[in-house]
Amino acid sequence: MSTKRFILGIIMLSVIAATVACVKSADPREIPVGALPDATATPASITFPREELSHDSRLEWWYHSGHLRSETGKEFGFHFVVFKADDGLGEPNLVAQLGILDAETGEHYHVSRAEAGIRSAGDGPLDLGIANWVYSVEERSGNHQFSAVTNDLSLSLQLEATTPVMLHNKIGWLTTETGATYYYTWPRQSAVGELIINGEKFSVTGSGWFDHQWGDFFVLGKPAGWQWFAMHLDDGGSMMITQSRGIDGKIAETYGTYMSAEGDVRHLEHGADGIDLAALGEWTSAETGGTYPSGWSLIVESLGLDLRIDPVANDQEIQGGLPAAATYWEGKARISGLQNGLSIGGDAYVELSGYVDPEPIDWMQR
Amino acid sequence: MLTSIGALVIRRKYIVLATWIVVILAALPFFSRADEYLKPGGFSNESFPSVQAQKVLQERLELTTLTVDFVFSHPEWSPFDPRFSEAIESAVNGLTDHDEITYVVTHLDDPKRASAVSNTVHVSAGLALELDDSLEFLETVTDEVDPGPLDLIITGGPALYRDISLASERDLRRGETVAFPIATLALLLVFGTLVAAILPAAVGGGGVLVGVALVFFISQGIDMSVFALNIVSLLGIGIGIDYSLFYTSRFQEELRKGKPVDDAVLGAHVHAGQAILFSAVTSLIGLLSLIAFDVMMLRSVGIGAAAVIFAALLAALTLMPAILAILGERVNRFRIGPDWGKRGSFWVPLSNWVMKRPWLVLIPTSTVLILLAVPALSMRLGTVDATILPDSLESRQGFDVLREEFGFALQTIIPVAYTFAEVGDESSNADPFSRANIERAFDIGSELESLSGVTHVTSIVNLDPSFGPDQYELLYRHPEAITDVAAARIVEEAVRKGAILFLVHSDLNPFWPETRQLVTDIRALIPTEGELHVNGGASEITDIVNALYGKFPYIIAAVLGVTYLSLLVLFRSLVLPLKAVVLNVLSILASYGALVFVFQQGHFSGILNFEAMGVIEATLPILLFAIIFGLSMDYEIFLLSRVAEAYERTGDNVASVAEGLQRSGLIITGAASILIIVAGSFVLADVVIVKAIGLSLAIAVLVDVTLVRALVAPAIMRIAGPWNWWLPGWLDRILPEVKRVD
Repeated sequence: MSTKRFILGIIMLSVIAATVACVKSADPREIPVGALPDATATPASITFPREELSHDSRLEWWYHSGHLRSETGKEFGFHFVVFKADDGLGEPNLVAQLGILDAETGEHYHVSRAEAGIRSAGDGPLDLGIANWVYSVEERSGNHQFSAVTNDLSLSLQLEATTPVMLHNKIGWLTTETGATYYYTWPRQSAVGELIINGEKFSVTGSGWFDHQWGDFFVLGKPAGWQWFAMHLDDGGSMMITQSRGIDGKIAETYGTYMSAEGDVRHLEHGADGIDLAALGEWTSAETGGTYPSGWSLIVESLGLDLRIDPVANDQEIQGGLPAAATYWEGKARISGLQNGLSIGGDAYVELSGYVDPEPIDWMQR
Repeated sequence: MLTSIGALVIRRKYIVLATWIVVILAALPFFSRADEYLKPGGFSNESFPSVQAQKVLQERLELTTLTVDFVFSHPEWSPFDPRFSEAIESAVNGLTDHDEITYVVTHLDDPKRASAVSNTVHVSAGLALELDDSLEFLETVTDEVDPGPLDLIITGGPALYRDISLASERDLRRGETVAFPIATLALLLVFGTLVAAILPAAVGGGGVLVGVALVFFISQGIDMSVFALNIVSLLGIGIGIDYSLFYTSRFQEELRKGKPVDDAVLGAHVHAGQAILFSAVTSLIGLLSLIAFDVMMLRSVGIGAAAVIFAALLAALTLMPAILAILGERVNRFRIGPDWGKRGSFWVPLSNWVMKRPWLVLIPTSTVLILLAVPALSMRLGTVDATILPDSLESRQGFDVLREEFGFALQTIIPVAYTFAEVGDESSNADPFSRANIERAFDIGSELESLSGVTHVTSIVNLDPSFGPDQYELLYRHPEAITDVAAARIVEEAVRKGAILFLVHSDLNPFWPETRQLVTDIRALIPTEGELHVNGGASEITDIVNALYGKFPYIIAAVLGVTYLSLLVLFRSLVLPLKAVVLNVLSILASYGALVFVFQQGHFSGILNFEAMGVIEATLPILLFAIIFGLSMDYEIFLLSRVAEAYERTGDNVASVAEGLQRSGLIITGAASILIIVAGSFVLADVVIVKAIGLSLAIAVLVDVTLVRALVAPAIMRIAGPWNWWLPGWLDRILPEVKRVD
C-alpha cells in the first residue's frame, strides 16, 4: 500500500513538473531562404460615400486648398490637410496643418495640431478631432467642413462640391516605387466660412480643391519627391498635374487629370498628351535651406494649353515639426497663358515635396 | 555524542549561557545590518541566453530595456496641446545631460505615447545601468523632474523594484508585529506557564538573531538576494521555536517522571535533542538543495536558511539545556494556562479511535489530501508583474495606467537581434541595407511572422506584407529620406552596422507558458549567416524556468533519497522512511493545490485582498518544496521518534503508535500552530508573493499536522503492523548505529 502510494506521489509530482514547467523543446532548424512577400492587392473600385471616410491603410490624407475672398475683397489662399499614419500597431496618428496666404501682403501663416488615435468629435459620418480642431466629412459626398482654431490664426470653412468627382489614372489607383495609393479629387468646391488672422475677422467665400489619398505606401523625401499642381481654369475647367521623382532623384513620371467645365474627365499622360513642365526660377528658404523651383511653364499639347504658373508669394513653406509631416512648399499661384491660342487664366495651388535635405541618421554618421 | 554534549553543557551551564549572551550581543549590530550586502533581484543569471542577448542588444543596437517611466497627465489639456508638450519638454529636458540616460522618448517622438482615452502621456528614459545601481539614480531623476502644471507618476523597473523591496520589508515588520504576540499566546496555551512559554521564543529568537547575523558575513563573500531575508527570518522563527518547544516540553515530561533536574535535562537532550538533530539534518537537506539552482534568489534562501537552522540547532542543543539546567523546576512557575500533563488529553481518544478504524480513517483522509492536490495539476508557471504590489503605491498606479491605456504587459514583445558582422566591421558585409543582408533579414522576418503565437513582427523588413527585398532595397537606398514616422523610427532604433532588430509581437501574456514555447521556437531558428539573440522579459522567464525546472526533478529525487536514507539510519526500518517521504510529498502537493486554487485561479482574492496572478511565480513551488519538506519532516521525526521509543520499550506496534501520537500530538500541534500563525500573518502582506508564501506554508503545515500527522500517518502505521519495523538482517548489520541512552 505504502509503495503504491509512494509511486502515486512521485507520478503526481512528475506530472506537475512536466505540465507546469516543461515547454516542448524545439529542434534547431535553418531558416528557409527565398521568402516571398504577399501578393500586391488588386485595387477595388472607388465607391461613394464609403471612400470619403477613413480607411485601414498605412497612410491617408484629406487635403483641401483653395482661394478665398473676404467681403471687402481681400484675397487669401488656404491649405488645410489631415494626415493619418497607421503602422498597424495600436492607434493611428493624426496631424492636421493649416496654411494661409494673405495675397495682398504676401504673408504666410501656418499652424499644426496632432492627435494620437481616432477621436470622434461629432455625430456625422466622420468627425475627426485633432486636439481642438475638428474635421468633418458630411453625408453628401464631396461636402466637408473644418474648424481650425488657434490664438493667432483660425479658419472655419463649409465646402460643397460643385463638380463631379475626378478619379486619377482612370480608376483612382496609382502605384509608386514604394507602394500603391487610391486617389480621387473633388476639383471644385464652394467655400463659405470665417477667417481670423491676429484677431481680425473676415467672412470669406471662394473655391476649394479637395484631394483624398490612402494606401499602403511610403512617402520619401529628397532626392525623391514631386511637383503637384491643382488648377482652376477661368473657363471652368480643372486640372491636376503631377511630376514625381524616384528614389534616385530622376523624374519617374509626369501625368495628370483634366475635367472640363461640363464635367468630362480625361487622364493625361506625359508622352501621349504632350505634357511639358519646366521650372522658370527657384527660391531658397532661409529657414530650412531648401531650394524650390519657383514659377513654371506648363504645356499640355492635347488640350492646347500653354500656361505659366507663378507663385503669389515665394515663402509658402510648411515646416512639419510634428509627426507624419515633412517640410514642403504648399502655395497659392496664378495661372496665365493660352488655350488653343486664346488667352486663359486661373488660380492654382502648388505642392513641392522633397526639396529639403533630410536630417542625417545619427548612427550612420558615426 | 549527544549525551556527552548534554552532560558538558549541564556541567558548564553558566559558561554556556554567558557565551551565548556574548554571541547574541555581538550578533545584534550585524543582525540589523543583515541586508547591507544583499542584492536586489537575484532571479537571473549571467549565463542565461537572455542575459547574453541583452548584452548584445545593448552593445550592438544601443537598446536598453531598463527604463524609468513617467506618466504625465492633465485634467483638461490634451497631450498635443502645446502647453502640455512644453511642460513635458521642460520637465524632462535635463535628463539627457546624465550619462546614465541613453534616451528619452516622449509623445512628440512617438505619438503612440499619447493616450487615446485620456489626457495622459507616457515618457520613458532608457538607463545604461544595472538594476542594482539604478535605485540610487532613480532618486536623482525623481528630484530633477519637475512636472510643473502636470500631474506626474513615476514607475518603471527601478521604481517597481524599490517599492517591492520597501513593501516586502514593511510586510515583514507587520508580520512580526502580529505574529509574535499571537505566537507567545500559543506557547502559553501549550505550556501553561509563563517561563516555559517565554523560553522557546527567547531561545528560538536568539538562534534566528545569530543566524541572520551570519547572513551579514556570508553575503559579503557570496552574492545573496535581499528577497531571501524575509523567508529566512520566517523560517528561522518557525524552526527555532519548534526545536525549543520540543526540547522544553520533553524536559517538563522528564521532570514529571520525578527525575532530578540534571537528569531531566539530559533525558530531554538525548531524546528531543536527537529528534531535533535529525530534523535539522533533513530540513537542511531540503533547503541546501536550493544551492544547486543557478538562480541567486533560491541559492540565497538555501544558504540563509542553512545559517539560521544551524544557529537554531546550536541554540537548541547548547543554550536550551544550559537555561533549563539553571531554571530547573522554576520552568513551571507562573502558571496561567492548563497543565496538559495532568489533564486528559484529546490525543488519547483520537489515537485509540485511529487504531481501531485505520481504514475508515485512511481512505477519506487520503482522498481529501488528493483532492486538495488536484488543482496543482493545472499549475501554470510564470513570473509576476507589478500587480503583486498594492495599488496604493505610486509605481503600481503608474503601471496600471500604462497597462490600461497603453497595453503595457498585456502583450508580449520579444526583441530578437540578428547580428551578421563583427563590431567595427566597416565593410559592406556590415551594411544592413545591402541587398544580401536585406534578403537574409527578410527571410528571418518572414519566418518569425509565421511562428505560432506571433501577431506581427516589427523590423526594417516587416513594414508592409506586400514588400519583398526589391522594395526594401529601394526604400533604404536613402534611409534618411523616409518620412513615414514609424518606418523612420525603426531605421533610427532597430538597425545598426552589423545588426538588425526584430520585435516579435504576440497576444500571449508575457508570463504564460505558451509564450515560453514561442521563445523556444524562436531560439531554434538558425539563420544562414550570422546569429539570432533572443531577449525580453519572456525570454528571461524562459531561462529562469528552464534553470529551475530542468534540475527540479533530479533535486526532488536526491532530496527524497537522502531523506529516506537518514530516516532509515535513525529508525532502522525500510517502511517508515518510505511512509514519511510519501506523506511529506502529499503535504507539499496539497500546498501546491492551495497555491493554485487561491493565487493562480483567484479564489478568495476579495477576502485576501489581492489580484489573481493567473500564474504561479516560478520560484514559489521550489521554495515551498524545500521549506515544507523540511518542516513536515520535523513533525514526522517528532512523531516517529516517540513511536520508535515506545516500540523499543514495549515491542507492541499498536500501543507504540498510539503512545507516539499521544505524546507528540500536543507538541507537534503547538509547534505547528506557531508556525501557522507566523506564516499566516504574512497573509496581511501587501506584496502578493509574500502573501502566497505565507498562506501556502500555513496551509501546508495545517494539512500536515491535522490530516497527515494526526490521522493518515498513524492509520498507515497501524495497518502496516510489524512491517513498520522491517529491516533485512544484512542491512541491519551494515547500517551505522544511532544510540539512544535512557
